[in-house]
Amino acid sequence: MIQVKDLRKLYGDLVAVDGISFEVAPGEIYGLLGPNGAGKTTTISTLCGLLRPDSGRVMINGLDIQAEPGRVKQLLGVVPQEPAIYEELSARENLRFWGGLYGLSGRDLSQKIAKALGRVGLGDRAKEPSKRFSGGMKRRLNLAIGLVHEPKVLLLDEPTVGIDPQARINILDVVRETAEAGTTVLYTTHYLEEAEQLCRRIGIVDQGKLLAEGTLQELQQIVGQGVLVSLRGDFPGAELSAVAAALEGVSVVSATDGEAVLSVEGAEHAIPNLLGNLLGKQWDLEDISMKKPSLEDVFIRLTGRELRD
Amino acid sequence: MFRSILLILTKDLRRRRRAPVGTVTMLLMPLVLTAVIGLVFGGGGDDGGAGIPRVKLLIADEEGGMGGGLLSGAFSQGELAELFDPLPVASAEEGRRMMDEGEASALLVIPANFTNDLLDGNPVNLQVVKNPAQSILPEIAVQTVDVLALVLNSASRLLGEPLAEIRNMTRQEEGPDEAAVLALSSVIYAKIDTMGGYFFPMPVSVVSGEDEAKETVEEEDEKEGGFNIFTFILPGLAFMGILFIGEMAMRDVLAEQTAGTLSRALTTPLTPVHFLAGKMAQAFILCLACQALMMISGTLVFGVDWGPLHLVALFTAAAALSVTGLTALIFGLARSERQGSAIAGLLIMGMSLLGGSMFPLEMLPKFLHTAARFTLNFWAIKGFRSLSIEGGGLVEIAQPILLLTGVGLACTALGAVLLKRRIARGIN
Repeated sequence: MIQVKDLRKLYGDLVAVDGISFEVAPGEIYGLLGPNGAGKTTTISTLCGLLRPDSGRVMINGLDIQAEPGRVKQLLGVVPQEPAIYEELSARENLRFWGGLYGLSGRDLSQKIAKALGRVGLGDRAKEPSKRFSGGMKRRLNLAIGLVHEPKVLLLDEPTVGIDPQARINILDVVRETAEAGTTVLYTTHYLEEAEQLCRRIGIVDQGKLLAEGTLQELQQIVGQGVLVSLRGDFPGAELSAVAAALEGVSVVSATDGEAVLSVEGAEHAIPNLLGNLLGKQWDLEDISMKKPSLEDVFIRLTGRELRD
Repeated sequence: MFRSILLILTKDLRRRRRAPVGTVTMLLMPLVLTAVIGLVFGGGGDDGGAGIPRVKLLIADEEGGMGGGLLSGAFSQGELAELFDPLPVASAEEGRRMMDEGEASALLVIPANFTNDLLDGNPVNLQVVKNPAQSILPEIAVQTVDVLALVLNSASRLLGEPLAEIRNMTRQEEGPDEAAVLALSSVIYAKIDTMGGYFFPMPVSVVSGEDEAKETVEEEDEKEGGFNIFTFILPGLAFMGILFIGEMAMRDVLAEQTAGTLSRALTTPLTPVHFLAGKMAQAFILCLACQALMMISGTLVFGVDWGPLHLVALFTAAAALSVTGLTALIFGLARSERQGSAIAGLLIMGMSLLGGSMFPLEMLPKFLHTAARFTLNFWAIKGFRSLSIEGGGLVEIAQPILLLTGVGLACTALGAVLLKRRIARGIN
């Protein structure tokens, strides 16, 4: 449904998107995960025709957005990062206007408005001026606007930034239901847990580049098949790296003075061996924990830094 | 396309209705200013009209008799003396020459044989020549002479015979005897007692015209009814008001860009051209509606007569178009909403000061009069006054209409191109 090939966008000398390629199948939720400034919003803006790429191609349902913007835009629902609503108008009036821009009118529009408001839980606040809404309610209305015309493709640009957990759960549920109904979803976020919970496949982007993509399990394999051992204490990072790297089944994910994350394959043999070597060094180890690798670990492995940096 | 424009228009008008403070303020401002200025100019204060300049009136008395003396003397007495600076001139020609040099607001020509014609009941034409470079002061002169003519008419109708007797008595070498004076007094008393309903038709009429092309244009006084200071003030202030309304409406393009709703709108099948057309339609309709509301309020509250409705409507449309175009151009050139508002505010205030919206043009230095012609306000005021005060028709307002429409269309086209480019640049 969505095909992006070698997409490149520059702002002067700054390369905002640097040759990104990915595909999203019909009904799939595809997540673009990356820190602020990674190029996620630029990618979405190019997909919906707001920006003209410097090179590359975007196809939606087999149509080139640059060649046939009108037909492509008719298929899209866009949910921007900040609520783009008319606060003087009620929720229903907002939806009536935005739905009208897609050619909807009359009873059909009224039914779709009622349905969209019901899905985001604003049915009972439909007549209220949206300036009276809380931040979470405005974001839900923002989502309803993107859904009102029942698009084939839904593009969401960090729709849950800065909202309360309850509203976030509601938005994620609506996105999940929308995809289940057959809509293709492209979802950008910098929240790891959102990407893990929501997306079937995830693309990790940083500094305009797509570093890796795949299902959660596929991405976890980048770090390794085994478990991650986190160490905290009084030890030199470089020396610990050298000790760990020399052991069979152990690889270093990250290591600094006092903190390190190691990937361990074949935990039942490798972990006792690792601990024995570390204890032999007479370092003061304050905390040792084990866990399955997360997207955060994948991001650290790929970029050398944490996602929140 | 039309449907999209209509959607944007109705959405924006609904938003204005929901948050009406800005629009209502812009609407009330001209009306309040008109009331305040009108009261000051209309003599509501203790000083009998502080702030209004004195009317320099040239008087060419071609008769030099009793009636002419009474008439010209009236401008030096009582309340009229506070309003007028009468200046006798040797002849009407000299008066016109002085008018051409801008030395007076009006010239009153008292015709030869004025007194005899008045007393004999013959038609008499008092001629008032207005300085076309001024607006309010010449009109004050015309209206005052009108009132004096009414007094003279009354006197001649009522007291024609006794006054003729007095004229004859003053011609006798020996003074009038007491019996004759007593008899005359009785007659005058009886006449006054039976006054009422005998004033028309008036034997004395005032002919006024502007001193155009160094010739006196003698034409009937254009409009019936008394002098209404608000008719002079309101059109200018109303136009200033709709300039601010237009600014507010077109500013919305940049406000939507800041709010993100413009970007979102452009992810729908809507094109930038449709969006701009909707915004311009909104500005145009708001200007029209506000001008109409100010006209209705002006008529109901201040008794302003705007002139023939169809011509007023036509002229209002031209004025609204010029405002839409100008404000579109300003915001097309501006780098930000804030900068656009600042530029628009300065330009509107400047044009209003210079173009006669805030002060009558004659109160400004002469060298600014030419500059005033480069303001929209000047032409808008000229057109509205032509319809409301001078009884002008389509021919008289053709020049201002063509000018305002031309400027409006040119600015609208240029503004649309710049705004479209701006939108594309802003998004990219």
